[in-house]
Amino acid sequence: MTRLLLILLLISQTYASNPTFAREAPLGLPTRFEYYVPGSKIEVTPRKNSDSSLVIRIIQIKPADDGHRYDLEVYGLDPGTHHLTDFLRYADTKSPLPALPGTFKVTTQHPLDTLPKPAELEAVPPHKLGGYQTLITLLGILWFIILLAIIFYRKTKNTATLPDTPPPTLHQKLQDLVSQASHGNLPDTERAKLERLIIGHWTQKLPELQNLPPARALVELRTHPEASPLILKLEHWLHAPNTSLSHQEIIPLLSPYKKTQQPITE
Amino acid sequence: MSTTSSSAEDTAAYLQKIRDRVGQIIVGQDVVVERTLIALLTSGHLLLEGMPGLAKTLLVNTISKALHLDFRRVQFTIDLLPSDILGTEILDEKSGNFRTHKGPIFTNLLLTDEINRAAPKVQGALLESMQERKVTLGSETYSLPTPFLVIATQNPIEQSGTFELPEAQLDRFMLCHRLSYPTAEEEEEILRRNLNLGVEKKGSGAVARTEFDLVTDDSVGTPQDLVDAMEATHNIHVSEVFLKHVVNIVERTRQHPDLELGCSPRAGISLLKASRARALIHGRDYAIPEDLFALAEDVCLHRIRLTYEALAEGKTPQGVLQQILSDSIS
Repeated sequence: MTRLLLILLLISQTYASNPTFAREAPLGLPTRFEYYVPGSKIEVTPRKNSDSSLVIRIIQIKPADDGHRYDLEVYGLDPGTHHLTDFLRYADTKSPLPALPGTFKVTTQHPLDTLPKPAELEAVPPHKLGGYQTLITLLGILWFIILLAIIFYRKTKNTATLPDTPPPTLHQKLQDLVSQASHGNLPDTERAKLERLIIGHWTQKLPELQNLPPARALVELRTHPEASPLILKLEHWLHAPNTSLSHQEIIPLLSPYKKTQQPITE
Repeated sequence: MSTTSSSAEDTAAYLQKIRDRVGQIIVGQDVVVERTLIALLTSGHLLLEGMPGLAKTLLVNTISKALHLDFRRVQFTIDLLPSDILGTEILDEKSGNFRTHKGPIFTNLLLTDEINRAAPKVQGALLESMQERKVTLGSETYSLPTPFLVIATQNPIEQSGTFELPEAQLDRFMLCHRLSYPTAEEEEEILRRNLNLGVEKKGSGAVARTEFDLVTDDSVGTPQDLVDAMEATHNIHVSEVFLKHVVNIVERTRQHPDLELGCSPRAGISLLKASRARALIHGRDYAIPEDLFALAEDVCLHRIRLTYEALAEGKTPQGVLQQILSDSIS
């Protein structure tokens, strides 16, 4: 009787060590347990794609009566109940295991249809490689066109701003001012211009003064026998306080500039 | 052209006496003497640019003695402090109070040799006093003596270890005259005079006499003559046409493409004042274009600045200003 009880105990222990009961673990989290498989050593069937529902690692193999005990670490990737033998095979013959008791249940907190799914990856075409030479050539052509446009625009602008008639010569300006002075309607600005033009006229007329600085030329003009009478009287007329010179006295002095038709070289 | 008033003639004669007195000591440099008198008559300040040994100190010394004015000379160096020029307050150990020690700026004629050798803070202190004619020492503000004229010198060649005066400070100088070397005839006369200086015996020894020993203390005229001359300068007539000439030149400097910085309104005022003084010195009671053109370089040249393009083309401020003056009469 005692012997019979002992046999029953051993049998029950053997079955207790086998995964006759269902193991379970949350989705994605690892769990470890011991699993007995009779016969020769087993190994994990290599995965050929990413659709495998379980990922199994054999951590340790311990010999048993007529088989081996395996410490397994299992990750559940698909919710539901899975047979462990579907993912294992014999190491020597590479043949699948017979249907042994033992299932692995992957549990989830949420209903299956509400689980988030990974976003679908989209194929992104790579950026265009190469073509620098073409790009540089196009930019060069563009730069040349803009350069031509600027040059052409400037040329047309300069041409457009050129006056139709040449600017009046010193002699013409002088004639105009003297003419106005003879009519007695010469404002101060024009009088100042008239004085400067007469100084300029004599500076250009006398060769010895042409290369002198204006300050020195003016000193020479005030003592020049030909120019000084007019220059001094003009100074007195325009600058002296309570001048005794009248407008009528100055106009005859200026009349030669009005009558002269020869242009002055500028 | 003669003057129309006897007072102007008297003043012109007085000024001519001063020039004659200076001429007895200094050979040539008539223009510098004229510019110094212009600055003195118009209460402006004068900057002299030139090489050493051109009798600048002797000139100012002679003029100050001729006008019976106080004269001081300060050699500007890198370690000079503002208090060395303006003065400071000193603790009197006996009384325990602060005593004001006035600096050399408290004079009528101040010659500041090589102004560009001093640090900018010294230059700034001097130029501020020149403008305001007042000096503040501690909590007291003192007015500078009248007349007050600063004649500064700077060497245009030596630039090492100098602090160039910025345009804003150069503008405070009414005139900037470039001294030139004397002519060959003048140089001969200088040497001839130097040969006859002789030796001055002092006690048991002797020392070779210099031109400074020729400067006598007897003045030409009285201080009132100088005041009259300053008043006469103020009474010189300036016509509307002359004002137009001044404005024309100042405007041209501002519009010239080669100039980055043209003349300031202060330059126009200086042209006007200096022309009046020059007219008085030349015996006229009204200013004429000759005064304007003669002074344009000394008044305008230190106030204008060339553009980088003009500098790159090798142009000079003198050349551009002469071009402006030439263009104004064509």
